[in-house]
Amino acid sequence: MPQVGEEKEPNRMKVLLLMCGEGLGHTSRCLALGKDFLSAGHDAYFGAYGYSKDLVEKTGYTAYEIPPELTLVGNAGTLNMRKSIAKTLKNSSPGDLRKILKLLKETEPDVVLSDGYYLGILAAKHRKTPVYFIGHQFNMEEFFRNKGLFVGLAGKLVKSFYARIFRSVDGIIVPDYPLPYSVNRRNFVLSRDINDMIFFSGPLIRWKYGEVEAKKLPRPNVLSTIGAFGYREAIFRSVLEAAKLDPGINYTFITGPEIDPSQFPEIPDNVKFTGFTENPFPYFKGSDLVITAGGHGTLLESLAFGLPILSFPDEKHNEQENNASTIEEMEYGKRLSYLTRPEAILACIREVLEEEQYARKTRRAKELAESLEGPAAVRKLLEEKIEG
Amino acid sequence: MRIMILMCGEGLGHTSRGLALGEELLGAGHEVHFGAYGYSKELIEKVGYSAHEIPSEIKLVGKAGGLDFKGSIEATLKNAQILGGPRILKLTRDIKPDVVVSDSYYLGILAARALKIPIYLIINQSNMEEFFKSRGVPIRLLGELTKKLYNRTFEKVDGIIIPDYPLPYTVCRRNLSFTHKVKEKLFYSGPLVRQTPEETEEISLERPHILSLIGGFGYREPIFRNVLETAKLDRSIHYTLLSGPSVDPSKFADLPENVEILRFIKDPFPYFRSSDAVIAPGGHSTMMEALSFGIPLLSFPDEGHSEQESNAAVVEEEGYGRRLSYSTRPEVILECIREVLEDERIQTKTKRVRRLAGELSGPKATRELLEKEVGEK
Repeated sequence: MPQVGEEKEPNRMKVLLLMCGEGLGHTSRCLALGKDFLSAGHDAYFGAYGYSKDLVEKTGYTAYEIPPELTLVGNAGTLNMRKSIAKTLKNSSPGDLRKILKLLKETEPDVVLSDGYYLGILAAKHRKTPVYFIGHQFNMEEFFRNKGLFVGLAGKLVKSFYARIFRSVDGIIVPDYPLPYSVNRRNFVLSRDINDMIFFSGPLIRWKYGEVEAKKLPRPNVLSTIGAFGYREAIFRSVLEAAKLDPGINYTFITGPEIDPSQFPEIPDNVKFTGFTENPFPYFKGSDLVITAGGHGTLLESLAFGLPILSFPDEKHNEQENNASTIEEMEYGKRLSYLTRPEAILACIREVLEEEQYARKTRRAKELAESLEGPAAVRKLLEEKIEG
Repeated sequence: MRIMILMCGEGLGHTSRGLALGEELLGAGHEVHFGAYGYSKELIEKVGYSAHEIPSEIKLVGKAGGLDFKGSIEATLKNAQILGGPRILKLTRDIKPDVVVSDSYYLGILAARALKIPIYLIINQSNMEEFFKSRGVPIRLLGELTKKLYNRTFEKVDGIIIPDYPLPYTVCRRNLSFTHKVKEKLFYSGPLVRQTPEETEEISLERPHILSLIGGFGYREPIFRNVLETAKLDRSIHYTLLSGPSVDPSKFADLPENVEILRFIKDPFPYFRSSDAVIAPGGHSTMMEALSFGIPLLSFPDEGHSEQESNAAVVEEEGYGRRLSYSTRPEVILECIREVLEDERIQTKTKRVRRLAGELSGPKATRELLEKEVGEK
C-alpha cells in the first residue's frame, strides 16, 4: 500500500474503497476489488469500521477507521426496523461527514468507490472527486412497508434520499450477474433516467475458482455458514439435527469466533466445526452445497463457485426473502424457513444433491462468473472513465 | 394423557387426520375421546371407535360446478345451534381432558379456553378471507370479520399444527398466512395419515392403475363421466373409480373391462399402495394421503374454491402431478395420465415426498409434541 501523499505514476489510479460494515458482504467485495486494483498496479485505500475493518486487516491490508452509518438490530427471528432506525440515529453525529472529508483530503483519491456507504458519496461530491456507488439493493423503501406509520414515513424519506444520491454519482456498480441472471433482480427498482449509469459487474469475489485449492473434505459435503448466535441459532440447531439423520452426508459449519463446539452436545462424526475463517473459499471449493441465510454476498460467492444453495432468509427481511425466492425460481437451490424441520432440511439437501438441474444451473453460474471477471471488469470500467 | 379430539365434519379430511392422530395416541397408551357430527361421526364409528356427538359448525352448500357461498352462509346460520356452545362446554367439562386437539372446529377452542385446558388447533388453511373475496360487499365485510375472528383465535391457542410437509414442501402453503406472533406457534407435522405404505398390503390391481376419487354425483358427475370416457380411449390403463354410496354403477352403460366402479372403499390405503396415479378433487387430506404413498396426482379442484385451487396449483408447481379443470376433455386427461406415469421427474418428486412423509412421521411427531408441551404443564 502506498504512503499517503506519495506522488502517483502516470496511469496509476488512487482508489478509495469505503464500505458499510453491516454484515461482511460489502467488505468481502471491496476486498475483491482492492486486490484486483493492487495487482494491476493501482493504489487502493480501504475505509471501514467494526468487524468489517477487522476483516480488512486480517486479510493483510491497512484500513482507515470511518464512522458507522447504519446499524441493524435484530430480535427473535427478525430484523427490528424501529430499533434499527433509532440505533442508527443515535450512532450518527454531525462530525461524521467531517471525518470522511478529512480522509479524502489525506488520501486524495482519483475515484471513490462507496459500497453501501452514503457519507462517502456526500464527501466525494463535496470535493468533486468522481464517485461510484456499489449496491445490490435499490428498493429500500420495501424494508419500511407495512411496519406502521412512523416506519412508513421514514421509508418515504429514505426513498427520496436514495433517489437523489443515485442521480448524483458518476456510476452505479451492481455486483451481480447481468439480467436475466441477476440474483437481486427483485430488489431492483430504479428510475429509467439512471439506467445508463448502471453496470452489472458480475460477482465480486476475492478468489477465482481456478486460484483456490479445495479443502479435502469427505463428500458429499454440505457447507453451512449459518451462525449459531441470536435469532439464527434455531436454524443452526435444525441443520445440526438434519446432519444426525443421515450419516452418509458430511457437514462443515463455518461458525463465528464466539461459538464453542462443546456447547452442542452429541456432535455427530459427520459434522466438523471450522471456527471463523477469513478465507472460506477452499471450503466452498471442497463442498457440494451451501446452507446460508439470504445475504447477497454469500449467495454470489456460492454461485461463483458453482454450488447450489439452501437459503434461510431472515424473517421480514424483504431483501433476503427476495434473493431466496430468486434462488429457488432460477433452480439454484431452495428457499427454507426457520420453521423448516430437520427432516425437511435433509429432504432439500438430498433433492439438491441428486437432481441434475441444480448442478447444471449452478455450473453455468460458475462459468458465467468466470467469463464476467467482475473485479477486472470494474477496474477496466474505471480505468476507462477516470484515466480516459 | 387424556386427549379430546374434535373435528369439523365438512368433508372427511378432518376426520381422517383426527383418526390418524387418535390411533397414534391410543397406541402409545393415552386415553382418546373423539367428538364429531354427521358423516364424520359415522366414519369414526365405522372404523370401530365411539364418538361424542358435537354440534355442527359450518355448512357448505354446492351447486353446479362449485361452492355456493351465499347458500353456505345461510345454511351455516340456519343450522347454528344456540345451545352449541354450552353443549360443547358441558362435554369438555365431563371428559376433563388434559388437552383438546381441535381440527378446524372453533367451538372446541372456546370451550377449552373457558375451562383453561391446553388447546391445539389443526388447520390447513388460515386465509379464510380469500373465500369471501370478489363476492360482493356484504360477503366481503363478513370476510373481514372472519379474518379478525380467526386471527384472535390463533393468538389464543397453545399451538397450531399444520398437517402438511414443512416448508418448502408445504402443499397448503398458499392458503397459510399468519402474523409473526402466531408463526411462533406453528408446527408442521408432516402428513397425518392413518397408514404408511410400509404398513399397507398391496392388492392385486392390474397395472398401470389409476385410482379416481371423484364422486359420480352432484356437480362432480361430469368429471366422473369424463374419467370414464378417458378410460375408454386407452384400454391398457386400468381404473378404479370411487363413485360414492348414492350412485348405482349399473347406470353407466358400456363399462369397459379396464374399469371397476366401487360405491365405497372401507380401507382406501391398499388401493393407494397398489395404484400409479390418483385422480382427486383438491382437498388437502386426499393429497396428503396420495403423496405420503408417493403417488402422482391429477387434481380437479372445485371451481371457485380458492383453497382447493391453491393446493392444486402447488401440486403442479412442485411437480407432484397436474392441475385439471371441469372443462378438461378426456383426450387431455389421458395425456395427463400418460405424462405422470412416464415423466421421470414427477416420479422422482413423489418418491421424495413419500420418503419425507415416512421420516417426518406426522402422527408420532404430533404425539411427541403434545407429550412434551402438555406433559410439561
